Amino acid sequence: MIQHHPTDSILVEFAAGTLDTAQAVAVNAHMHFCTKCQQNIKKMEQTGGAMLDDLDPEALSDDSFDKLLTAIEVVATNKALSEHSNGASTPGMKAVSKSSDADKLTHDFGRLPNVVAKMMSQNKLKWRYVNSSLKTSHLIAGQNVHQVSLQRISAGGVAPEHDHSGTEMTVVLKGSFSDKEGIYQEGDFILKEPGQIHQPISARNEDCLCLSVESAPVKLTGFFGRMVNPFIKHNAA
Amino acid sequence: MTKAVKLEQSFKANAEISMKLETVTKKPTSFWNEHLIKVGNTQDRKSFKALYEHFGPLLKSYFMSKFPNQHSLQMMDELVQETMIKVWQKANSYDQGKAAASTWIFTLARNTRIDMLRRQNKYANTTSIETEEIWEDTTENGPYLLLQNNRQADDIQESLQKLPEEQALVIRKVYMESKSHSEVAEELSLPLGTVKSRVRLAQNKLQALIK
Repeated sequence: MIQHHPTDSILVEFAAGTLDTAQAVAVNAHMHFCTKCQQNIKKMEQTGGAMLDDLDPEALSDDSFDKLLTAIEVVATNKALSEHSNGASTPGMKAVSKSSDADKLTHDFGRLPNVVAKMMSQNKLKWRYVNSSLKTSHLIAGQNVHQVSLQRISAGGVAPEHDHSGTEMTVVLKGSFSDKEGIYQEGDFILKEPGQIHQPISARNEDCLCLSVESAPVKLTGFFGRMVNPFIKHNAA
Repeated sequence: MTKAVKLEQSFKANAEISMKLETVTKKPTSFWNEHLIKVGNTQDRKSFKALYEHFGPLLKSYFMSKFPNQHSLQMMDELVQETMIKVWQKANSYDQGKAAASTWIFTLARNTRIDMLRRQNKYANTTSIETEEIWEDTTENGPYLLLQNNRQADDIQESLQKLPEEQALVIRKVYMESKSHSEVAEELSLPLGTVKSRVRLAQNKLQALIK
């Protein structure tokens, strides 16, 4: 049962479309597990629809509908042409290689949110150890505001204690971890602000896989943390 | 004299009637849903034109409220066109049991706007993840529990008119001008917490009737 959800204001910003792409990926990943938040987003989108219907209309040019129909025909023709010239072979081959990648990921991690699975399959994962229990791999989300990464804590492992120099959103994709404030399970969404120092510990029975979206690289605290911190910064590039 | 008075009275009466007509002619949700379904089922051009004539000017207004300074009207028209092309292409996946036409079209417009902003980011090409995959139709995957009916959408419309001005202003900035809560707080010189609570109050009021 999911206990930790995004705040209402995060959900509203997602529904209104103002949330940054990377943070939206974190909300998307949570919604993969959480029907309650799916419903809340739907309600907020209803608000958006009602407000759209309530706007003062702005006149369109007289020939704009004809232009629209022409544009639709152009799009349809181009689509037909590209499907024709590509033939059936290329997409078929792509589908095979994609599905074997997906199979491997499913085998390792179970069913993951579609967007996360796609990011994982687009680039080879390069795992780097942060300490003996925690390894991390960068994901590319097509933006430069946040650092998006996978974090994997081995079963019973203890991640380094760290602070946050910016907002960090974490979604548990598999397994569970705990810190002094609580226990977080599959689908849980955790928001940490600067000053919230914590030390995640994975459950003993299985590895914990998390998606993390940070607005600035996390700051490691403690002696060991200071030693490995530059390594993470290097990794972030 | 009396003739003139009579004339004026009938004029007034006419004006009242036409005003009433205007409020009455605000079409119910079901009207637009049915047009959208026709476009999806039979690519009905008459229905598509009806949708365009209603939603096109609203979409333009939506895009203009986000980009008030970039008054490139041509760009606004292109964004409207891009959204309406999606309406045409995706209408066959529209399900009125899941969303009112206005809600569905709002999400397409929102995604079009996000798309445009993403295209401006030079890092956008480093991934092939589409905006629609991130802001996906959340009803596709999970079990669907919130069934929408046309009354709900009409009720939300109605209660939108009754929101206190301070709440209406804030959610307008959030949903139509697509501003973050902190941008709204700064613009209106309000504490962030006040903005958040007004948004929450407004949302609760709009949903109160249909809970």
